[in-house]
Amino acid sequence: MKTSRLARLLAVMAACWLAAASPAAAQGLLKHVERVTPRIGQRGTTVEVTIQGTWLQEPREVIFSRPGIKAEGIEPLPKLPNMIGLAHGGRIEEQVKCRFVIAPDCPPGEHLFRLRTADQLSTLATFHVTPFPVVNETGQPHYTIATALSVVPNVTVCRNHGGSAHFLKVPAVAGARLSAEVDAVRLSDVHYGGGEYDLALRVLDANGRELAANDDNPLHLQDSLVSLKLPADLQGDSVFIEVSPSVPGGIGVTYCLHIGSFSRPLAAYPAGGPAGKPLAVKLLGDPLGDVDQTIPVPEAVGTFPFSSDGPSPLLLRSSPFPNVLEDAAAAETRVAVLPAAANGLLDKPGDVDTFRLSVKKGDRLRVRVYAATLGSSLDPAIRIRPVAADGTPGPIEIEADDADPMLVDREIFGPNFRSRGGLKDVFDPSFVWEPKADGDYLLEVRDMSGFGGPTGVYRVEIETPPDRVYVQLATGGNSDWVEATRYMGLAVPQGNRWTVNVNLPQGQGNSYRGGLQIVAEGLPPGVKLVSPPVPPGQSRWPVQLVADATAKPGGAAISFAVQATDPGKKIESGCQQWVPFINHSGGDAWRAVRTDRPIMAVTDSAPIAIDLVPPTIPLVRGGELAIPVKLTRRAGYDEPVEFQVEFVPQGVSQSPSEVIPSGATEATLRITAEQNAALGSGPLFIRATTLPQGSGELGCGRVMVSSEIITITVADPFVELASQPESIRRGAKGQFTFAVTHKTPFEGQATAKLLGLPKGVSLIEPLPVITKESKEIVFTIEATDEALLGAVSGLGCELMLKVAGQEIRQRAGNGTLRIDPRL
Amino acid sequence: MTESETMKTTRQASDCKKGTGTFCYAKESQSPFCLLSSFCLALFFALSGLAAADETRPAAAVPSFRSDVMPIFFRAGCNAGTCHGSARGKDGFMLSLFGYDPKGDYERVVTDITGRRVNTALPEESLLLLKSIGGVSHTGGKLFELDSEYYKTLHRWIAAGAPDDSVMPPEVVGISLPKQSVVFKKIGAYGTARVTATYSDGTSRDVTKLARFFSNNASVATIDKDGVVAAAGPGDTNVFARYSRFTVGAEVVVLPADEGFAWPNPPTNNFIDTLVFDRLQKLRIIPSDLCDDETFLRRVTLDLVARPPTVEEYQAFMADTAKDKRAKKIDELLATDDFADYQAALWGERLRVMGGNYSPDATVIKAANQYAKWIKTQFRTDRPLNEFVADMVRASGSNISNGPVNLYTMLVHKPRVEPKPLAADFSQLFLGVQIQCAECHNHPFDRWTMNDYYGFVSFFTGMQRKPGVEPREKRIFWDEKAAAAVNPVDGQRKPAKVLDAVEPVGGEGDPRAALAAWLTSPDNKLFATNLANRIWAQLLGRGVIDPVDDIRVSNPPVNTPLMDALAKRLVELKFDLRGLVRDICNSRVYQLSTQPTPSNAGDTRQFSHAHLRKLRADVLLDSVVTVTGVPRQMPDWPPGTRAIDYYPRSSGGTEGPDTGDPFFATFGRSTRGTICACETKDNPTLSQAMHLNVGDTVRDRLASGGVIKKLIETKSTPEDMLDELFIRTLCRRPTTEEMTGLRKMVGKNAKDPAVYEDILWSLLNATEFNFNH
Repeated sequence: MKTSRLARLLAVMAACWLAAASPAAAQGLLKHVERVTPRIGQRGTTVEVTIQGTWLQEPREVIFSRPGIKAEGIEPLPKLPNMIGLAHGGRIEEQVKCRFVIAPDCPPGEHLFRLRTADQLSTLATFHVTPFPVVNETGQPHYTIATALSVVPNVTVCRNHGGSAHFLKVPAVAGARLSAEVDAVRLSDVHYGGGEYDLALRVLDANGRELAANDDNPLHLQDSLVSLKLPADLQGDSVFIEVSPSVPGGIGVTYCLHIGSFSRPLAAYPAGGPAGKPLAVKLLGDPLGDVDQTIPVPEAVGTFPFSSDGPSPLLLRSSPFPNVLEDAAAAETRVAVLPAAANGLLDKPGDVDTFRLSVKKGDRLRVRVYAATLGSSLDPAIRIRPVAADGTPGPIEIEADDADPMLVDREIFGPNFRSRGGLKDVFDPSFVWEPKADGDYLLEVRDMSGFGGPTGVYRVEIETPPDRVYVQLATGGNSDWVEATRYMGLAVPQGNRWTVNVNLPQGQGNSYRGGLQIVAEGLPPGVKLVSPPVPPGQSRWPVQLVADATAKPGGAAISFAVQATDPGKKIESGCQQWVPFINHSGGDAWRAVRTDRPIMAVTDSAPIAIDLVPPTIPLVRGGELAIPVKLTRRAGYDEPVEFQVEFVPQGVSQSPSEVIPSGATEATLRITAEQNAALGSGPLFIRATTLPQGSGELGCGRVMVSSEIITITVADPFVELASQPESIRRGAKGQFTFAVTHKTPFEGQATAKLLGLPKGVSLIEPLPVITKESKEIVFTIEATDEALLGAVSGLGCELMLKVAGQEIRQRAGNGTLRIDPRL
Repeated sequence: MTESETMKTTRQASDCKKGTGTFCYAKESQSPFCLLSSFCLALFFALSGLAAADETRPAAAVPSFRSDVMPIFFRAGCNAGTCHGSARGKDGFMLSLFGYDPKGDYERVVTDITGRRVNTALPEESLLLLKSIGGVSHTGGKLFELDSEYYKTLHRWIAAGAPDDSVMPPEVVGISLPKQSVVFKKIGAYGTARVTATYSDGTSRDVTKLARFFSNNASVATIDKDGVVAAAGPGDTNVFARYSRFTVGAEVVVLPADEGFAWPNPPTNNFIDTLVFDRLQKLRIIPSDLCDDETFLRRVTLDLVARPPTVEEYQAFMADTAKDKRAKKIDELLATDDFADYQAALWGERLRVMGGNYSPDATVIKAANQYAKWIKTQFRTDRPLNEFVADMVRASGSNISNGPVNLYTMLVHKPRVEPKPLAADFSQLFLGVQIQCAECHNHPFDRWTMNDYYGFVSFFTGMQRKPGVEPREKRIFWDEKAAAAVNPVDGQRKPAKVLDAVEPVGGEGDPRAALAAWLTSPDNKLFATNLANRIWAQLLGRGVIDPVDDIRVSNPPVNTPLMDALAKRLVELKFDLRGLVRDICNSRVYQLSTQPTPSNAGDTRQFSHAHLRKLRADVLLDSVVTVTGVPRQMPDWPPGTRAIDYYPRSSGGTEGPDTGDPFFATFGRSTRGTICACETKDNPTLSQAMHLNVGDTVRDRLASGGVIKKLIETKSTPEDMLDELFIRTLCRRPTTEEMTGLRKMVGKNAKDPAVYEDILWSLLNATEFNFNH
């Protein structure tokens, strides 16, 4: 209780602080778009939309990640008179209005977009589409059945729940189907939130008798849904739908409730089929009974949505191999040929399905279950055991439950949940199996806790692992892994460059170990991708988008992929980006929005450009290299500019960000190589950013450009130095000598400096110089009575030389000096 | 022993205790010692049925370390926790507590300080012997005499080379006293309890001189180190003998003087009355009269639906002239959701339902809500108690969508399932047994061994949590790869085994189904007894076994036939909670007055009259709300939440104790910090009185709700008004004296709300309101 009070007190204090804070002081987790109103629109209609947040001046375009909605009439609204402070430093102070023209065939559900302004590409925002007319309810609350809001299906009703239950009155006929689905968590557009988005549904008759209820469900998790056949003894001609927070109280958030007679299947069996072919499925869970239907499976392999007449789809699989359906009447089902997808239903508690398959020792098979991933109620587990010579099951060879949460290529990757949870996909096992023997094996599918039921659908895809490498925009190191626009955004100023780093996660069971080339698809005219070939073993790499001076400002949904540099080798690839929308303190994100088509934009030309002078000499191990930085300013732009290295080869470290002061155009980038830095060449680039007042941690408000990607080479040091322990007496002069072994010849002279001398011992000039012929470096030193008696170690030598006009420093040696008393 | 078997006895010659009799009684008239001795012997044979010839276990030529030497350590207290049995031993010598580790004890006795502690060349020089007889300095002092059997046995063993047992001697499989009940008619009477041990080879042995004895109430009966039981004062208690790992007890009744005692033969309503009155008659205690209708109505309403009766309920009940109106009222209350909700509240407290916001604890508010909702649903749908418990025990899955699985998140509030604390709390809650005492040693006051304990812990070693699909969710499951718990004494894994069983439950996978089946079986007397006792305790204010969650051999029922009958009845009712509550509430015992009779005024154990029971904190708060009509806004809960529906919610973790609303802390509601029933406090405190006097609970409700003003509008006279306030608050009309005094106080201000607010304030502060009586 004390904790609760303290937390509330702190929350109040934090809120007060936020309200009082000036924009310039608000260095929090700032997003461009913090609120989109309304949250939903009916397809085939045009909706007036307000977009609110920060740094939205000069709005130009709304770019969606998929077709279906076009934005028009974009114009700024007056700045809000008072800034609205949000959690974690977010704020609303500007707004934009526009019209979303929603096509009649627009897919229902979530649509992602970014707003392009003159010089910004906003953080990700969402808008939802419903097949039904929308009622935005803002009137008095409807707290009781007696005051319930009357609505006519099919309809989508939106309102803020205010922490309390609300009632809707719906005409009803006994025996008819009534479905209701909540969008709340999926509708959220906040950075930080929690249980206020978690709603429950109940359907009551006029006497308050509960006819159906739902809170959480495997399909939509916290967003509840009910679909029922109204009972024959229904009292009256109406029923009442109660929408209430799962945990009453708390703050109110907006939800939308879809009410209608639409079918609401909870699963399809089988949960997928061969790509490009029609698939006969049974839709399960509808209150009027299961429905047989044939649906087209897309050519593209992967998970695809199947929508009926409801507001949200089911997810199914398209696979490049045939289906095998469980023979429920048999003890086991034969999988005649591999690869294949074994499909079944754990339809009762404790059910275990068994498939028999023939394999050979040396086969390499990836076994992947799709159940929870697709919205099934199961938490599946797999056992594989050989069939003994006498036909009995042998010992378990493989037992698998959950998949590694960090496993990337299960069509989800990128979300870096802290506790390695938060994704239902993780419940589905996935592993590479190398059978220990030739012969028949039994593959058993069961639920971890013995659950089973009429919608307990699963699908086990068994195939030789294809070579897959994916592209994932690398996030920054922010807490709560919010979208880091500074790092992930793809805004390229006209006539300029922008570079981001990508991760290259490997598919499970990958065997390809060669080089890669990153490519992009869908780039607008005048934009090209520059990315050096990726050497083997690299898991992170820079990709650069370059907009030429003629590229028109505008946006596009693009995608990245990799190709094998090994000619003729086919690599499956794709890209994906995850953006968390509701973070939860101390835990994982509640909701993360996924897109496999990142949005990029060419913005108006930037006031700055940044360039590096590519070094013509290598960076030696243990050495430092100074690289000139050239800043080009648009005429009249004299503001300070920050620059920072964003990618360096392994073992190379960079200095922290630096600021080029007002009016200055030159700076020096210093990079150093560790003694064990990998030898060879690698890319390096820096980004430069303007520093407008009030810009946020994520880069909102900043114009960012990058240098070209240059190549630096890490080489062996010029010399290696060795020394014998030396001694010197107080009050005396002496020498300290390093023996020189030349590793990389250099021209000219190098000045040497002795480092690490203790107090009371000084270096007497002139400093020694060496050439490529020198065998030793001799320093003259002098000790006073201040020098403490005894030995000191760690004496080093710094060489300074100029090669091809560039200054190089190398540090080497590790000497020991003993200070003795006066005679 | 029946009443007819009792005798007039008095304490006689001390030599009687030298006899071989068990519960050997010296007759008052037998003064010559020899006669007495022979009578005692004869009586012993007559009563015990255990003659010397029954001692079938022959004495060995060389004493056995396990059978002869270790029992001396036990008897002399050497291996007690306060002596060498403590975790670090004492003065450099350690023995396992109560001898749970014979092998280790042998090593420590014989091989530590070789030649000194045990000197086989000069046995009498052995420190073991010298210290025991006070021959050298010994922190524990002198334990026995040089010429005692204890010394002789140890000496013989050392002289024989202090051998370990080459062949494991037969194990003790039980001990017994010949009688379970003894009645003394006079203070000062005495008798000797003889203890017989039986062994795994079928032999038996008199171990009276090796056993230890204790009494549960020395003011009623004492028992000395040789098993001599003496009547100290009127009442009933139990005496116990412990030997090896077993404890057995016998009831001792010391009757008060019988002058003027005449059993009134009160009517009985059901088996409860028969059994309680049997006991009272035996103890010469006369039960109180039946309470009046007003008292009954208030008592049963508070007990069953956790609020006082409304004025309408009062008037309807008082106007009812039917003979069975009390039974009808009980049925009416049992049929309400309020009854179910109150029971859900009691179980929510026992199950430690709390909600937080710290995901690793898995006790987030939504999980707590789901659990609380599920519990409430079970009681509203009249779910049999055994099924209710079994569902929780077997549960797996999501903490936020599968309510009953929260048994494994709430019982022990930790970031992961901890099998040992879970087993301990599970046992205490569902069996009333504190099995955790057997974690480090065999239970000192019960029959449970370390193997029992670790076998029971193994039901939970596979319990795991894994992240769910959202930050608040944890999936609870049984990990089939989990290993069984290890008994640290022998290093062996002890597969899951139910208490009292010899063999593990066996089978593959999750053993909890077997645990649930055993636990909730009609044949499991422990389970039925525990539930029946808790139900009884809630309605009568004290368990037949008390405290309710410390059932052990050494804490027996105060009325064993009653306890057995209640448990049996619950099983007959197929664990129907309402059925047993109905039986109890319909009993005359439940409906007795609080007004004592001369003979029962001192009785606090035998249910001879009703006792004042302070209202639970939640019931008191809901009662104030019911009377005033003004709800209490609970922190972090929606408006209108009843106190009985409330559980603590916090924005952090839930590992620590928490009462939530400060009212509950003041009035002793359970902090839910542990599973112990003692978490709910029923002692009145000064701060409680001050809170009701000047705190906001009463003060803010007197005027704000407008109850007084409404009543003034509807009541035509001050008398009606006073009637209403008394009924509303105390469920009775004012007495003539009260009416006269208060009418005088109202005076001419018959329509002034302030005067009635003062009166209502007084009523709400009255002890009569704060107690159930």
